[in-house]
Amino acid sequence: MTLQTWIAAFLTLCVFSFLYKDNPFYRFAEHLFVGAAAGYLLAVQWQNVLIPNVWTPLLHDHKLVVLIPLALGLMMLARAWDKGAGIARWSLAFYVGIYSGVAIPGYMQAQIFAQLADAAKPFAPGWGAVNSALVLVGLLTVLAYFFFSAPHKGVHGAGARVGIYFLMVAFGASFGYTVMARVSLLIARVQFLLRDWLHVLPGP
Amino acid sequence: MVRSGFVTPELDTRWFDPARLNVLIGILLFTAFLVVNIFRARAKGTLYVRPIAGLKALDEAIGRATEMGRPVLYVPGLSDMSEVGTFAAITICARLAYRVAEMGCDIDVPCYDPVVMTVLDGAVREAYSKAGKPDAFRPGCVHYVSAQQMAYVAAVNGFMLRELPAANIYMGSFYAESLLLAETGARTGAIQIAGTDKVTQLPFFVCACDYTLLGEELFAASAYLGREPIQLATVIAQDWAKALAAAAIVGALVLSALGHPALQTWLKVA
Repeated sequence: MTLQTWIAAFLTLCVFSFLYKDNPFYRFAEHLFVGAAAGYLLAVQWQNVLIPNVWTPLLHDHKLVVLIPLALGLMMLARAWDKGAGIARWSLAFYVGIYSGVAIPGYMQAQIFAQLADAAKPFAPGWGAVNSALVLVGLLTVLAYFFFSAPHKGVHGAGARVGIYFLMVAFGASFGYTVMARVSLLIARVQFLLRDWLHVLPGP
Repeated sequence: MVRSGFVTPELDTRWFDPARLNVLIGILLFTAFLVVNIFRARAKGTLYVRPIAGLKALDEAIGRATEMGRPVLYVPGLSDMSEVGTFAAITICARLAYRVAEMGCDIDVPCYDPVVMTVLDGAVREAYSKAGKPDAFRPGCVHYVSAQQMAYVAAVNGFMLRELPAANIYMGSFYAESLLLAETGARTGAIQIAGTDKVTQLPFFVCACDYTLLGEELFAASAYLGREPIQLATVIAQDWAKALAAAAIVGALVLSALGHPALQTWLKVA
């Protein structure tokens, strides 16, 4: 049994102790986790972002255009000083503007038109038509629920009520599916403790 | 282009891709809906948006926190500025911070993304100034935790158990951490209000929180809280777009059943 296994088992038990209540062991694991993650992410940013995108192009390839994003990034740090908030806003405006511009056509294509095209497919033959009809009714009534400019009254209200039932059925199915996945994660951790650490279970 | 067995895709340098004309028309139509509704909102002063249950509870949650002398915890989701949900989370946080400043209680905003943290810090600071209490703003109330999902969850869960916030508000884009956060919050007895556009995470918030904003209610929430004409207009424009989408689906189905699949084909994106 290696030292790593003992450390992993100890930290697993520290995190599980949270089920009882907050305690120094959980706090130790929490702070270690946050600290290790910060250090790891800093190293990843340095290796995968700053060196290939700033250091190498600027110092080896002499691409001065890199100075623009570098300056925008440094301007973001100006927020650390009270008077620098206005400077940081320029970088943020650029960043938010770029992301909005990229996101809007992408959303329209991937989220709206892709779903419209799927929803408008012809009904399946035979008993499959019942399934297609259910999908269509579900879609239209859920859309009715998400209408905000009219109160949920009359026909619209009845449609919205049916829509909320469709939503709840979908949520229930999704909940069950995810809980199963979480239980399998727990089983994997318990297997690690009983097999790799305590050797109570036979090996795979 | 093939070099040494690797295939390098050719860069598409065209300004316009005719195969995506439908996307352009969709964006132009939505923009038109938006402009018309902005003019309508300005002319009328306001537009009707139906009440959303979870939002009414926000004031109750802040009031409870003020009475108990405990902070309000606002979790803005685990996404960056590329997610629409993050934009909604920032707007709602600004409204919430305004009410918190007015009522004189404390707010804590742990952040996952450093850029989102910077934007939220500015939004909360500005909200305190608008409420006439710039000195009440506590530097550090909007703070960075970690950009590692489970490290973030461990830290926020620890905060919940140690500081016992009276109200936990989760707004934005959430992933596997939603149930871990909401379950811990429920254990502390805090009033919990959540809202996310991530459909797969909604069931967990519905189970573990007192009120949940479902999907698009998150986007309507920011407009509802602000009551500003432009934001209200966006909600109404979305309703018009939804009505058009429903009509397009039914129309495409009827037309293709009659042997005219043109609309159905047009809706497909290459």
